[in-house]
This record gives sequence, C-alpha cells and structure tokens, in this order.
Amino acid sequence: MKKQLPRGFTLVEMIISVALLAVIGLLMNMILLNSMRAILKAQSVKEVKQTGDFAMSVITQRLRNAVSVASCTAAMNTITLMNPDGTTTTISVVEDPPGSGVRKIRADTGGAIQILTTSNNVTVNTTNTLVFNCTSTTGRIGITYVLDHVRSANLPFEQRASISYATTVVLRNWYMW
Amino acid sequence: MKVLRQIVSHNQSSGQVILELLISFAVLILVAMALMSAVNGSLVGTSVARTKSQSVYYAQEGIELAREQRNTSWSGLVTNCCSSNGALIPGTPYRRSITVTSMSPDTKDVTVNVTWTVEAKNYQTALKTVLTNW
Repeated sequence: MKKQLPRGFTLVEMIISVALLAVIGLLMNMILLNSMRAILKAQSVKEVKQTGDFAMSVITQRLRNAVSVASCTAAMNTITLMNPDGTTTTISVVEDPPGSGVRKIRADTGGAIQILTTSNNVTVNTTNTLVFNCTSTTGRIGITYVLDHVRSANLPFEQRASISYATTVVLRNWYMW
Repeated sequence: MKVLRQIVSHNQSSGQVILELLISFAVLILVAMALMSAVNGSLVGTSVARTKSQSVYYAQEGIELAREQRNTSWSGLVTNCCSSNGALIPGTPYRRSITVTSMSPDTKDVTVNVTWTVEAKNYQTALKTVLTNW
C-alpha cells in the first residue's frame, strides 16, 4: 500500500476560511466603530453634565441668597438680583468668546464677570435657552435651560449630547425685607 | 458520506481544519456579543445617569414648593399640597409626589419622591427635609 502524502488545503477550504475571516473582520470593525462612537457620546454627555450641574448650583445658590429681583415676570431670559450685600447680579446668556457661536451663561456682579458654563464645548440651546419664570409674589423662581455639546450639532439624533435642566427655588431672604 | 467520514476521523487533517474554524468562529461570535452588550450597557448607564441628575432637580423643586407653602400658610402644608400626587410633570417622564407628615405642632417632615422608567426599569429619587413653623 502506498503511504498517503500529507496534503495541503483544498480550494474549497481556503474559500470558506477566507469568507469566514471576512465576515468576522466586518463584525469586529462594526463593533469597534460602535464602541468608539459610544465612548465619544459618553464623553460629550459627561462634559455637558458637569458644566450644567455647576451652572445650576451657582444659579440656585445666588437666587436663594438674593434679597429681591429687579423685575419679576414670566419667561425672562435675563434676571437681575439684589444681593444681601447691596450689590446686584445679572444672569444672562452671552456668546463667549464673541463670534465663536458658543453661548454661555454669565453672572455679572457690578462688572465682575463670572462665566457659569465653563466649557468651550458646551453651548446653551438657542430654542430652549435660559428662562427664569418669576410668576409668584412669594419669591418663587423657576429656572430652565438646555445645554448641548458643540460636537452634537452635526450628529444624528441618537448621538447628540444634550441635557435639559429645570428646577425651582424660593428666595430665602424674601420675607426679611 | 466521504466528507462526514473525513470530519469524524481524527487521523486526517482536513476535518480538523473545518471543525477548528467552526469552533473559533463560535468563540469569536461569543466575544463579539459580550463586547456589544458591554457597549450597550454603558450607553444605557449614561442615559440613566442623565435622568438621575434631572430627577434630583425635580425633587429639589418639590422641596422648594413645600417651603413656599410653609412661608405662605403653615396649615396648608399637607400631603400633595403643592403638586398633584404621582402625576407626570408636564413634558417630562417624571412623576412626583410630596408627602407631608406632622411630627409636632410646629414640625413637619416633607418627603418628595420622583419616579421614572428607563427601558422598562423603574428608578426613584427621594429627598426629605424637615420644615418648621417660624
């Protein structure tokens, strides 16, 4: 009997293995791309959240401590507060730096300007911008705003990093004056 | 039949090649599925974290509403004084209820519960404070 020689791969085997490799490669590529997108989105959301949380904490703190409000109407985009120390603080939305298209929340206390949304990558939404709702005579003020990541503007809906903020505060010193 | 015999037989290398390929393919698919579910999990986690921080603001709003009620009328500070119990806050997925418990004639416990649902899972944020008649 003739001993069988070790043979190489047949053409069919090669084709199958290449096809499998191609399928696996495509799958891996898809997963890699998707996870990169997910990482990017998570980073954007984190940046927006940090910025918005800080801005909200400063705004609510300033409002709580304020003695009164210069004018109290519904749906104001700017609010002027009388502080306990006699100074006034105006909170509004400005483009900063000018021409950048990035809208930020700013607190202006007699010329001393504090930018509350610190990140250059986070912008206040133009449609759902900063709104103060001062409808009550009891010193109740509602605050709402929506922050977007600048990277989001050109992305499809599911990849956008956008967070809406809404809360209400009651001025603590309202009754003292 | 010849192919079958080749696959079953361990002495011939061709059957082993196909089996090995199938096994490695299966392992790769398993790994890929694990990766995908991990990515999906992190995405859901991000969106839950976002709703969580929003819910805290709505709960704080509830506390502020109770405080406003305290400032205007102490006797009016009762359960559901300031927002309808368990109703959706307009334009949001959150339900808020305010529970007031009288601890003494001049002390009341205020508990605000905000509940919402993400992907069929229920989440809750609760804030509690004590208000006094001053």
